Amino acid sequence: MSGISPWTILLAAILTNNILLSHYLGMCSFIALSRRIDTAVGMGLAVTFVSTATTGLNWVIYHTMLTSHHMQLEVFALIVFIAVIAAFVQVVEMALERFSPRLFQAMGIYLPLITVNCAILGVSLFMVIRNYGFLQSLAYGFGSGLGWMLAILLMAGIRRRLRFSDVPQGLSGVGITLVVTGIMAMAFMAFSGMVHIQ
Amino acid sequence: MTTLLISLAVFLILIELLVAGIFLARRFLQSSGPFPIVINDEKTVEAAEPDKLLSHLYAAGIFIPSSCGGRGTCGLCRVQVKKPQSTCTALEEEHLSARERAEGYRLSCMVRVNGPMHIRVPEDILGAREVRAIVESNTPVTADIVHMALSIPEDFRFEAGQYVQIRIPAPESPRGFEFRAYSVASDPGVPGRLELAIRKIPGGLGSPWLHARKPGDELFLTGPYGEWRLSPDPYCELLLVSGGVGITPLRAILHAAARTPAKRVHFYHGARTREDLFWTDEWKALQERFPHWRFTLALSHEPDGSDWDGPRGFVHEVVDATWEPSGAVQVFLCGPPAMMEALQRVLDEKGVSPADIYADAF
Repeated sequence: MSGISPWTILLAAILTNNILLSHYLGMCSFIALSRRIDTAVGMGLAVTFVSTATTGLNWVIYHTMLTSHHMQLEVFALIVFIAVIAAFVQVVEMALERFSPRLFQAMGIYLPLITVNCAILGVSLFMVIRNYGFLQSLAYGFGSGLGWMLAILLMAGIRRRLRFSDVPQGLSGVGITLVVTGIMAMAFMAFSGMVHIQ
Repeated sequence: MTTLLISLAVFLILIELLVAGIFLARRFLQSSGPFPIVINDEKTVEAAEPDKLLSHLYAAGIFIPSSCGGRGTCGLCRVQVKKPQSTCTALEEEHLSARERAEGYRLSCMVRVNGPMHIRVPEDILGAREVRAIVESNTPVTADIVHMALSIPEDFRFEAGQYVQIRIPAPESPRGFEFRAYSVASDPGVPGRLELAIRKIPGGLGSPWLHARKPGDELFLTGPYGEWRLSPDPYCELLLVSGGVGITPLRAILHAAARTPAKRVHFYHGARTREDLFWTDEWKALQERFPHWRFTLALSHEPDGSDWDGPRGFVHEVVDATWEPSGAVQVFLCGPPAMMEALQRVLDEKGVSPADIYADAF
């Protein structure tokens, strides 16, 4: 287990090791939902919540069931994590609908999209590769969610301005979004001296 | 070998646990019916399981109009939800005014029933029912419009200006059919008969299918819907303006107005060229019967060299130039959205109160 403080991991996950801008994970929903600020906020909150909770849950399952005692079941980690994320999202959806219809209306349409968001799965897999402890994993999951939300919010703001700018026809839409994402990723590299995990 | 078996067993147990978790959550978190839906404080419908409000009402024989198949795009299926309080989705905000939203109006296709509800449905919709109709004739009147006559049960009555929905087979829809709305073109005073004018929209769902119907074919209608009501006051002037196939509900209104011959009627119709005009013999006959009525046909794209001696230009320009209000007036407008906006401006400048204007854009 690496000895980095959870706070450092949290900060790094937001800025230096941003799951979207440094690993390019979670791109499809990033491009699809960054057209408007309100949808970007909704999706960002949903991703943050699900990534924090599933990273914790996956940590417990990985360390108690997949690698405990004499079992060497790490190979199943990928498929088990996918199943856990999908099941968790389903249960959360039902719980929200029952207990907080208002939150369900705000977040409901984004939850099913998260089931297939690779950023969430990526966070769980990185947690295993980097051998994080439970608190470190939670911090990493929460930070990655916040980092993803920061990236999609920035992009939603930029795309709002792009609507009034003169984008070459062949690049408009997804094309220019990818170009801008690349430039944003380079800008985020400026943070890399701050903290270092990994 | 043992390792493989153990791995497989642990993996399967994990997956089973997850599935069990989902089932448990469904059992305890999803509320189960039946839920009572109280309509207008008088009628109660039981909703057996969580589903769209629109589907529950349809299953209970309350035919809320809806022509988009419950996707929240046509804006027709509005109902007032009294209890529980809920907020509109972004999709609904496009169809409901701020005032309607404050009064609890929702699109019933966007409301999920997962508890008891109190709703209010317009009275005319409660009267709507489904009937079987037989095609008597289906004749082309222009290049893209057919005039369809149907025989319907004699007790299916409607008012001038109302519309019906026709059930159209749609293999891709989950329930196998969709509804499309059409205004009734025929005299409401003739029981057992209903006429429509249908413009073919290439690639559309309803109009190509309806164009292909032959005499003797069977259709299912729901309705009637719509709150257009012709004023019975003989001294209330009647201004009718239509564009293209928007002439349909106005023909029904003209026939109904013929029962109050003292009424002054001004009928304006706009089309692109002479080929797009139809039912002109009927207007001639009505003009001969009622010399004090005025019929004006305006063509916007008629070639310059033709022998058309009527007005040219857009119909709102012709109304602006030739019509002035004199006393009480009731206005019915039906046509494409751009024409309707231009007409609303013209009428506003002439001082016609919005309360006297009935408008239906398509």
